[in-house]
Amino acid sequence: MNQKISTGTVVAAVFRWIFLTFITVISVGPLCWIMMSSFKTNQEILSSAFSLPSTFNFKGYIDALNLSPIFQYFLNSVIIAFASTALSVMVVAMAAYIIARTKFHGSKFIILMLSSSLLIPTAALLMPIYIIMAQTGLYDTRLGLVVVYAALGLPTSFFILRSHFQSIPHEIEEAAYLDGCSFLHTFISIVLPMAKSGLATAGILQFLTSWNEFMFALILTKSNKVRTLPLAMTYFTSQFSFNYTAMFAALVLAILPSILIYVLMQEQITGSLVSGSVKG
Amino acid sequence: MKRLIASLLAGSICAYTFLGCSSQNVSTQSVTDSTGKTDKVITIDFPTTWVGVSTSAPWFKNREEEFNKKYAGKYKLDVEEIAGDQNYVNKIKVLYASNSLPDVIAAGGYNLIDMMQSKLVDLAPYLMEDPTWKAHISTEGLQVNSRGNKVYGIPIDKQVMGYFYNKALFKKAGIDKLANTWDEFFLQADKLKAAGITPFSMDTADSGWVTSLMLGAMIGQTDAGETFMNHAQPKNYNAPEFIDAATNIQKMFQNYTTSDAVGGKYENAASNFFAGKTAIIANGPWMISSFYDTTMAPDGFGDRVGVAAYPGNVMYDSGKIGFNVAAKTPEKIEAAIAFVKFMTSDESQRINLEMNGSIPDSPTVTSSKVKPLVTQTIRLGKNASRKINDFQSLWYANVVDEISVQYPLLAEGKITPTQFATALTAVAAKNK
Repeated sequence: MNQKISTGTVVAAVFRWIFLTFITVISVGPLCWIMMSSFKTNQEILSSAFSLPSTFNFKGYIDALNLSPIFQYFLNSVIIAFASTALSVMVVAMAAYIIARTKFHGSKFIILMLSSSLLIPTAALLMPIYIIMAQTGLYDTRLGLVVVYAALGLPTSFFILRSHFQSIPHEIEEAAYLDGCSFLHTFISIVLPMAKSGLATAGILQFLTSWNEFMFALILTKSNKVRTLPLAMTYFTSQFSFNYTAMFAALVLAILPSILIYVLMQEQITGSLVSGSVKG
Repeated sequence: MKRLIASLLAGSICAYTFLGCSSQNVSTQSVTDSTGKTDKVITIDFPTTWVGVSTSAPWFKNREEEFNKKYAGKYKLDVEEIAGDQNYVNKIKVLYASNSLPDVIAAGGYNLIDMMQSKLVDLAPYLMEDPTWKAHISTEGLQVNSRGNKVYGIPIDKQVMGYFYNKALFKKAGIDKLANTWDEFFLQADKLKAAGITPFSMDTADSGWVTSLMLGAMIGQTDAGETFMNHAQPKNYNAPEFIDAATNIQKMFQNYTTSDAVGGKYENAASNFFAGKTAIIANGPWMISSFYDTTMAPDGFGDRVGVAAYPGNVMYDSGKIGFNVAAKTPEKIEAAIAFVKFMTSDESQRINLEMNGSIPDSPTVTSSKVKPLVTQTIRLGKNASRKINDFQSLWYANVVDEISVQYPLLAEGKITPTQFATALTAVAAKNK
């Protein structure tokens, strides 16, 4: 049976495809550009941003590995980012649940303190945190960075999780208590699984913050065995010298984990974004 | 398909993690005490920017290995790699504020002495004890690193800078001799423009090094200007010669340079010159090796480049801020001084000249293994009618930072040259 396709439908489809193509190009384009540039020479990069490489060789990647201890820094970034994420989410989840569920003297003060901490510029924290780290023996240690990153991401994670816990119906927890569940058991077995999307969102934001953070990594570390990936990126330009090929190669090596995280967790991110949109 | 991609990426992560666990350590930090001596080994903390793509990285690696060999069992160099001059300065400032300065500092010519002299060791007594060492340091080098009778730094090289020009582009524009005056210089810029060539490479970011060299050269063309460009920590930038130079810089930004100059860094300025998009760039002799690096510039580019003194036969020829010592204990000070002596020795300066084209501070160091452009730069410096110092060595650090803020406003005509001078004066006034 032939259905007559209206002109409006065709026009709508064309606009839809144009829009999707545009979004795809602006999303994927920069990544493709970085990847192509990692195979071009300095001259090719500087003479034309969008030309294809004349040859495909991995010299940029070899230079990137020779110029900076990129694998060592990558390992440190993985350890520190995962550890700070786990620490932040675990601790903040417990705090956010209590604040979301119970009213006690000082709860508003705690919320206010955490809100106001978002207003402090991180540059103002450099010196006091350096002194604390140096005096506690955490300077130039992975643990020091883990603790600092977890603390820096604490306010954001707190507000994300608090709003998720507030959206969970009280009746579910009451039903669990009636069945004999303890407070801790209810939190771990009932509440946390229901807040999975919120935990994923907070975790992803914390991970990306820890992964990309530069200034504290520079100030609070000294040795290559502790330093993180953003510091590796600085090895490719200096005041009077640069190697863009190696820099783009290092960028490709650096952004792959972020892409991986998003690919693996995109359903949770999308779910979290729309979780409050439908009532009932 | 998504699972396959995710699995491949996860596998890559695991592979990288495994590779990161390998025992190969590209750090330049530790020195093994191989002599088995029971004497205590003194550790010298030394952060450095001479890593990665820094032109001095191979030279420093050579010097570090030689120092470790020479002082094995006695001193141990603990190197902290900080790529990027601005990152280095930022970290040193935090360490200074926290009373945790490292034993030896080398800020690549940035003037940190005025900010940090209360925590730096006065090296004058040590120089008095070793007249041979003192004799190898130039008068200009000592002057730049001294405050009153105290010496806070030992230089390794000096600033000798003119400007580089593309001989082929000059020929294309019909320019057959170098400008003797700034009027001729701008007439040549007009000729280049008429031939379809952008005259100048300029920048504004990271203290606008390339632009500021032009600014300083214009200031230094008169007696008053030459005095200004040799005066440490000026507080008043409202001098007529400064405002006149700023007027010309504004004109250069608006008419004679590339569109990426405003907001651009040194890399943008240099790459435009390498690519033949601009005809002139102001910079020092360390740039010369890049002219022959085929990953940066076309093959044979070095042979098409000339070096010239600024109009009025003005050259940057001055001492440079060198190694500072901030060690706290007598043993550490002794170790730090031994390290500084080694790094600034005639041998180190000669190798620096040969590898990087850096003009040695010591008047006795020479070498025949240098590019012709380096030799020409040295000769131009010696024959200059007016010799000036660069802004990074002389001006307050906050003024050097502020200049990157003010240049774009000046370039876009949002402020006048007078307002530009006033802004820098206001920032300089914040220093005690």
